[in-house]
Amino acid sequence: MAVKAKALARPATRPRFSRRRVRQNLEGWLFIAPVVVGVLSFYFVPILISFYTSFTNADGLTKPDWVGLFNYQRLFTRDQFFRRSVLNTLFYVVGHIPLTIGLALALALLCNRPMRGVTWFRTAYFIPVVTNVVAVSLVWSFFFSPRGGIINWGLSLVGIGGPAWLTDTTWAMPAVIIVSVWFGVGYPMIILLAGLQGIPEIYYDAAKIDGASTWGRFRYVTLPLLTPAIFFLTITQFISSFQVFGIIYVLTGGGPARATSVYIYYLYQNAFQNSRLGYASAMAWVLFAAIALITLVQWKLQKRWVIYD
Amino acid sequence: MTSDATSRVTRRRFLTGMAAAGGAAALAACGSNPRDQTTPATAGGGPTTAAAQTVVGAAPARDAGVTSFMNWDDIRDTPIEAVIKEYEQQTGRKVENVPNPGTGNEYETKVRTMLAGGTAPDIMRVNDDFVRYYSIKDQVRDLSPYLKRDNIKPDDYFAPIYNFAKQPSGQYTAWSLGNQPRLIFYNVNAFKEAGVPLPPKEWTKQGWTWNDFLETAKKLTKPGERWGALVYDDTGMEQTFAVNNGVESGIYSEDGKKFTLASPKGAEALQFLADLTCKHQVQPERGLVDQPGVPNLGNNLFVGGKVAMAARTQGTINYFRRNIPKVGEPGHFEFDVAPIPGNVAQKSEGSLICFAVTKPAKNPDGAWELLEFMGGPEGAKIFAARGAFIPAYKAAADLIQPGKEPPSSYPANIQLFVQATEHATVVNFTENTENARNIYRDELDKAWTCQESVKSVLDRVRPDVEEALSGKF
Repeated sequence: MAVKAKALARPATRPRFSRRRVRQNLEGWLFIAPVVVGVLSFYFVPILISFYTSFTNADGLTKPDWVGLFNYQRLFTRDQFFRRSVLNTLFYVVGHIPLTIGLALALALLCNRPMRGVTWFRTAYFIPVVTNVVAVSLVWSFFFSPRGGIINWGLSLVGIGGPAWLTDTTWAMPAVIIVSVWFGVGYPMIILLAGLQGIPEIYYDAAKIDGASTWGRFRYVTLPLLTPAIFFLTITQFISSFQVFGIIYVLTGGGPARATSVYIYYLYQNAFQNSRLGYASAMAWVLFAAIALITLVQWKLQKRWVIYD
Repeated sequence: MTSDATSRVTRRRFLTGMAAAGGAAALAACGSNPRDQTTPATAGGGPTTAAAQTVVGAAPARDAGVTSFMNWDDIRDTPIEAVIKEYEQQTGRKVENVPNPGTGNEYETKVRTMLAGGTAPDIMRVNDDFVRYYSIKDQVRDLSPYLKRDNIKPDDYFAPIYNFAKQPSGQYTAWSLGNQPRLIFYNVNAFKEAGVPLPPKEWTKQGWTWNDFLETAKKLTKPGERWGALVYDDTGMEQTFAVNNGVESGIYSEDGKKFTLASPKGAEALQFLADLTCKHQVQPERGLVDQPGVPNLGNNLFVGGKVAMAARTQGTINYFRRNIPKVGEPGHFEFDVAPIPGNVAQKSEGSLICFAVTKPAKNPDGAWELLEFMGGPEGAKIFAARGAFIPAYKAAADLIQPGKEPPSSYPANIQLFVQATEHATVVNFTENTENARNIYRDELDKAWTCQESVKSVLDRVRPDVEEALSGKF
């Protein structure tokens, strides 16, 4: 009876280590081998090497010595430029993320309306995302030029004398944020647009019957049902904002007076300009830990505000 | 076994073959460090050993006729290109020019990455600030065996230039082709228009002190149209003005351990430069002359007649010659050169034109041959005739004359560059100079943009700069 039951439970399965099965698995592994080897060689191994390097004084040119926790200790105890790079990064994050997501939401709402040429607008807003960051930054550097730049020219038309955007320590970071919002708003707009189009019409109908105004429908239907998309964007924007580099490199070079020297830019300077690969590796691991922690906190907090339909 | 059997490719065989090939390729890639391709003799000891072995012919050349060469600027239409072409013509060898993304930090980043990866070209341009650094890091070859073999006579060369790359160990780790002193370039027409007497034509501070310079700049300034002077965008002015204000050692102490630019006199010197903008408004604001990724902003202001006097190296002559409108064209003006204004002293930091044969060089013999040609009688003659710099080779320096080709396109007082070589000041470089420099120069932006005094900036960064100089970090 028991044998019969067992036979019913596992009908006609092949032996676990049959020759044929092993061969099939092997073939599968061989097919994915190039990717696996690539990932191991170019991601996993460098990550391990970077971890080891963070405990050395490696400079890329000579044999490194083991320095234990010195790099980590120095970062937190006596590197004023590290502290400044953290503050600059936080300034960027706080400026960039709300503006980007807010603007993306506004654009997504506009592009979700039935109107002529809406496809053109969607494409236009997304184009910067697929444009080269160097080209974008260079063009914006001309826009920001204190004399003859289009921004200050526009401000002068309304009687405002514009600042020297990229060379003024007060205005350089806002300028970077403006460019990065313009550059990056297309992607979250598309995500939010998809989120908007996924909201069943029936909820709006019900709200209308209940007498909800336009604002009320947005506040109590649209926004709550977009929270999963907003949550996803918050996570990804946090991670990418902490790693901003290209725009800063081209637009300001971390200046003036380190006013835009964000975390990754300072890391890059240490690694490739000052030949402090060990120190830069330690910075990379600190950043990894910080991002992991922030993401974890965000993940935990989502229960309080994200509504899954 | 039939031929059919041997040629039949089953799926299993194909996959097995692919796996084997992939594994072999991965192993080959892992083992293909170019450094491993050098002979044990060259891969072994320090630079002396490597070069010495190469001289006696132990190191195989990748291609004896090709030498790879990397400068930090585009060499097209420059005297360097002219000399290389002459070399190729005379020897029948080929020089491969390695392109690079830009000057300054971008160039240094590329060089270091190439050195770390063992892919550096045979010859690389070395910022004179970093010759010591690359020597200590054992990334450049000792040239003394070549100097000895080819019976190079030091007396044929200006001693300060020839000896610049001589390391405390006695090795010569770079070849200095010449020196580019700094002078004040000025717009002769602007002086005439403002009714201001021309600066001195000899190396004297008589009538050409800092105060005289400031007063001249004020008279030349026409608000909204032209600034009188542009000095602070040339980093060579840090050393020059500090020394001229009485800081004898300049930016760093003689042993390279102290940041003497942060001394009261050093800070006062740089404040004078900042005040040209912040207080007297006779110098363009920083944003107009220093924008990331936009080269030659300051030079273009001079070329466009927007700046009447600019402190520049001799290397700028050819840029000005090419870009200042020609006679008869709108905006044309004559330009000339004057000494650096004097104070306690009257010196000028020159930039040495240094090239080095890299440690991973695959054709070190060919590299030396090219460098010897560039710095020797034939190369130096071409460089001098084009006014590019004061060649290390003494006999060629006499060729630096105004108005030869084409007439009046060179400054009339071009010989002042030769005089400047005799009044040169050199930064006390160490292997840690670069890190120190990166720290204080970034911070000085606050003084250049009139947001903080130079003293306050330098006081704040001094501990970090001196930590970097100590080499402890």
